[in-house]
Amino acid sequence: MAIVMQDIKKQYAGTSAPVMEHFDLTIEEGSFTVLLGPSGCGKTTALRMIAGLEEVTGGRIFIDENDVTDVDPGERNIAMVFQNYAIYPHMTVRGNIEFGLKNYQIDKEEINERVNYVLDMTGLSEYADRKPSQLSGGQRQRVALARAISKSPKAFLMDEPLSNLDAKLRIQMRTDMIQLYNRLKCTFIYVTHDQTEAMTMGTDIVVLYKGMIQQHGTPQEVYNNPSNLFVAQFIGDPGMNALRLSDGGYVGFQPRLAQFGKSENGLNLQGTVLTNEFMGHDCMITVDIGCGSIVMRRRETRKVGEQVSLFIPQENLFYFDADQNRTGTVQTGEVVSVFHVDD
Amino acid sequence: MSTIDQIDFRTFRKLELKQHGRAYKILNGALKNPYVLIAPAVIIALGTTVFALIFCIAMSFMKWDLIWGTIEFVGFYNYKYIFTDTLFLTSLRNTIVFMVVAVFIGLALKVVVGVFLNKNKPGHNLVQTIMFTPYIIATVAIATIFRYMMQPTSGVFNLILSTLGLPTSDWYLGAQTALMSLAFITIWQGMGYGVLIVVSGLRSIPDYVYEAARLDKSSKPNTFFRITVPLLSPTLFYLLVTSSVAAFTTFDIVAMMTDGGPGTSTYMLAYYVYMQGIRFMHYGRAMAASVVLLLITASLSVANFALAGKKVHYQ
Repeated sequence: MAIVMQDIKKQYAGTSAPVMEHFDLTIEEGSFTVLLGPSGCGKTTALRMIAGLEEVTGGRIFIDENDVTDVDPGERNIAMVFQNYAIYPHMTVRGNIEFGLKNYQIDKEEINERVNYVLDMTGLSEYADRKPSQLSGGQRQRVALARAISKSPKAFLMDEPLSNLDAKLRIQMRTDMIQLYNRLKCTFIYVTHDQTEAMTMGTDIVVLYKGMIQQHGTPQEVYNNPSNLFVAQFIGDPGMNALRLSDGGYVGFQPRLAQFGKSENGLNLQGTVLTNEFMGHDCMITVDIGCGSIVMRRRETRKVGEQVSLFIPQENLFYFDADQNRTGTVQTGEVVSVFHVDD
Repeated sequence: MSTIDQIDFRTFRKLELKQHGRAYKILNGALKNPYVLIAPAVIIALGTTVFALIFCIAMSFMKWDLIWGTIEFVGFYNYKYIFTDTLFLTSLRNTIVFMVVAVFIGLALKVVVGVFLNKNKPGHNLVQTIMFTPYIIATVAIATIFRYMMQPTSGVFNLILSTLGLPTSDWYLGAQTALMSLAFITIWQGMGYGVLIVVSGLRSIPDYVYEAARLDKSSKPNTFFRITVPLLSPTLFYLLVTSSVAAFTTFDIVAMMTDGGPGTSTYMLAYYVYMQGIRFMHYGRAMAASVVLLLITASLSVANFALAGKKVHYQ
């Protein structure tokens, strides 16, 4: 089901400026859309407005072409998984799942059937009669997922559901989540600040910054073809290096595409190695180029303190105009400084 | 190095004991003994409560004549006496009625007001401050004020009732209404404290639980009874235990306002103990009655833990 946010404005009571204005977003039916951005960018607010937990100040929200702007969260045919799981601490695992189903006045037999089905699906059958306090973080997260699945909603809304888990479990749950999506084939809207999660799980990524959509595209599009400097620097591990030029524009390049050596056709830089972090497959090397430091990821290493020459081939350079928007025209001028969007 | 070692070091520096001297070794050994460290607390606890308790139980089997200074063992005589004393039985009945009313109506009111205040944040602090005030006023002062306000002919209570065209009451001066008047004052007095506890209990319930309930299409009453009340249950249980014990040992409001009257309509156990012991000098009977009072309050707490305690959800 398609979800449409139309000209949304949101301003919290007692604040002078809206957190978002003229916000338009269309989420395709059956997509795994990730709302990605740094904290305070409005991604959670957007999700909560879709859920109905947050009122909109202006604009309309449509789910399946129905205007749900003033519809209660329970009537929107959606399910939500919260960052802190939000399971009822006083109910058993089974009770947690049943609670919502009972409110929807589904008959007893079907409730039982559904509960057993989702318990089985999430591997929680043997924990059905346990209280949340007797479960691990990962198991609690699965309870929250089971509760969401049991309602067979048209869309799943997830607010950083993996961020409270430890690193290993997070990767495991990431895979589980993708399998779940492939199995259920319904709309997923997923909020995260972790670009790796966004890239690995999403079919669509919406990059948000300061309450505005910076880019909406597939993971490949936002990675290979960032529409502005913010997206370029936010996506990637780490994101692009950007150099401010004396003529007002910017030039950017991905850390993996910078090479040691010199070249006629490309951008040449010189500097001193500051740090050299071994990452397994390759190394993350920070190089001080005089007007700041840039990051590169290479398999070959250099010693800390070593003077190095490096270049980026012309075809791997991304140009941005003075407004930090992507441009096809080659920007010229001397390198003035190393630039970070959040500075 | 444990913290105890560090404390030792400073202590001995003050005492100017040589670190390897004999006194050092003895003191050092003693201070590392946990029983030595808890001794002060244990001595105070034994002296103030355990000794008093044992003394009370022992004296309830004695006839103690203060004038002649004789103490005589009388077995269960005192218990036999009080259980055949109509005044004691009336006191017991009054106390139970008073407790049930003061505790349950009080608790319900505290929850209602607590929920209301928790939702209405702007007026919350002011209202809570006003409501808490009676709790810090001495019961003596409260009793005096209410004697004026509840005065049937000139009190403000009846004045308001008659102005509104409602039936008036004899309040604490009527045999039928006196006990309930005292219960009313007790509830009013404990309201601020109870509401404070309820509000802090409500605050400890995270918002996301309510958000999950909204997404689960839970109606407001359903959310209240299936989410709020169970999650508030440790708080309610605490209030239940403490306020029922407090209600059972009510004394000052009786002594200040009614002296157990009119007739014996507000005679309660703690007041009975006081009258037997201090007024009539029947120490044995007073001790026996207080042992009964102790047993009732203890079993009340045990019953609370056994019955209500099972339904409490500690997070």
